Amino acid sequence: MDTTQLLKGVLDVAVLAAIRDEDGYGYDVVRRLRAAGLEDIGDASVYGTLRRLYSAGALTSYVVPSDGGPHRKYYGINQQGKTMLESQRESWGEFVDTMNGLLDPASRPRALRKIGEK
Amino acid sequence: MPTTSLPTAAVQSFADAVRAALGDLPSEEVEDLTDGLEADLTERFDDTGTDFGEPFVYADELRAAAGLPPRGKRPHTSAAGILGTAVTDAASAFRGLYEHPATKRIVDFLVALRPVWWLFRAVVGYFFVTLIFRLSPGELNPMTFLIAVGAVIVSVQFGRGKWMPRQWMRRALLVVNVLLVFIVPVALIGIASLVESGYSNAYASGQSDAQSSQQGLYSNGAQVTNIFAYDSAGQPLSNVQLLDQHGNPLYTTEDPSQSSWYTGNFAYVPNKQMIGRPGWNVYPLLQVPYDVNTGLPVKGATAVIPHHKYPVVWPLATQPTPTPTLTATPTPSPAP
Repeated sequence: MDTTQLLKGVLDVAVLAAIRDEDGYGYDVVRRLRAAGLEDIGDASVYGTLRRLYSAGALTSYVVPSDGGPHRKYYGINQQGKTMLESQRESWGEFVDTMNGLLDPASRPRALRKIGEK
Repeated sequence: MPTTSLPTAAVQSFADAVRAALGDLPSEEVEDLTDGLEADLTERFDDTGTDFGEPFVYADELRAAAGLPPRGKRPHTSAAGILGTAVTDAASAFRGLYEHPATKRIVDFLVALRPVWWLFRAVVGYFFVTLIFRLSPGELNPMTFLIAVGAVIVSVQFGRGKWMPRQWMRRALLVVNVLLVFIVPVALIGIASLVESGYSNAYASGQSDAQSSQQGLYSNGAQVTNIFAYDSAGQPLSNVQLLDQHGNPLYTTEDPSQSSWYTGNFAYVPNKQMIGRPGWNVYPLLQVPYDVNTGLPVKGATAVIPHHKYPVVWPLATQPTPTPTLTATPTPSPAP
């Protein structure tokens, strides 16, 4: 299955979760997500998501100069972002339950009937 | 940290190409979107090498993830194409206005004002709740205080997105907020008048607490300035101390701290024989001639018992023992 399509739907909650405990700059967040197992995640997608979440007021942002190199733009989660994360976490949980019920009939009391079954 | 010329040049040229690919966006937007890009690319170079991919693809991914529309189409030669481009341009101009730094600053400022809005909403809520419970919103007592504190906490928590686990609650709050915006002018006027009346109530009650006879003495709506007492034989009495039902001095004057009370053609003065407090409750009040020019009682003038309407009145029917008549004459005459 093409996981990049799946990732698109959960980029926000993934990025929020990645900086829930510690502020991070763009590539830092990419690395955290890849370390968590989302290897296919695109750098630009993460940066764009950070930017959009910041515009939406869910993140704070500050620039940290680095010695000799280009400066880094850090993002941190704020209260609104935490609320957003919590709400999306719940939605995700419900979604996963629904999908599990659909994909694994054993975990669901009312199993879907197979075609032709009486 | 590998900051050799090769990666730096590669990073810089890639970053420039990405910025160029975002060139149709407002420059502020491009800067926001690509701020720190060099640092990220440099670090990525350390991890995976120079293969950053195609700058256009990168830029498209960036803008898609940032929730920005795809790059505008190249200029068309057909009429439909030109129309399409014009529509795209108009949309992008509108977005440019919306995302203009000035607009953003205004929005940021308004966002910073949100706590003020929360407080205002709390005030409206406070008045709403107090009116529902038929309490006086301008009056401070434990109940209104509790409601006020509760309103502030609830409004602020709602504003912070707390205590509203369900989506429909947020939608309901949005509806309430929109309604509030419309009733703001009405609410402000209402609150102002209520606060004003509350203030005057508080002022009046504070004054009456400080001076129990602030409003003077009234009998059936008419102000009483002096009191004339007669004994059971119908003879006028002087130096009569009067107290009310609480044992407080019964004053006719509105301000017992005054040394004289101008009522028209003359001024009343308190009885000087009273010890420890002004003799304003000793009746009849004595009067002195009043100098209109100086605004004070005439100097050296003696305080006299004012003219009695009746020199004597009918004696009471049952007269236990003969009462000695008073020495003071009933008509205006020098007092002791």
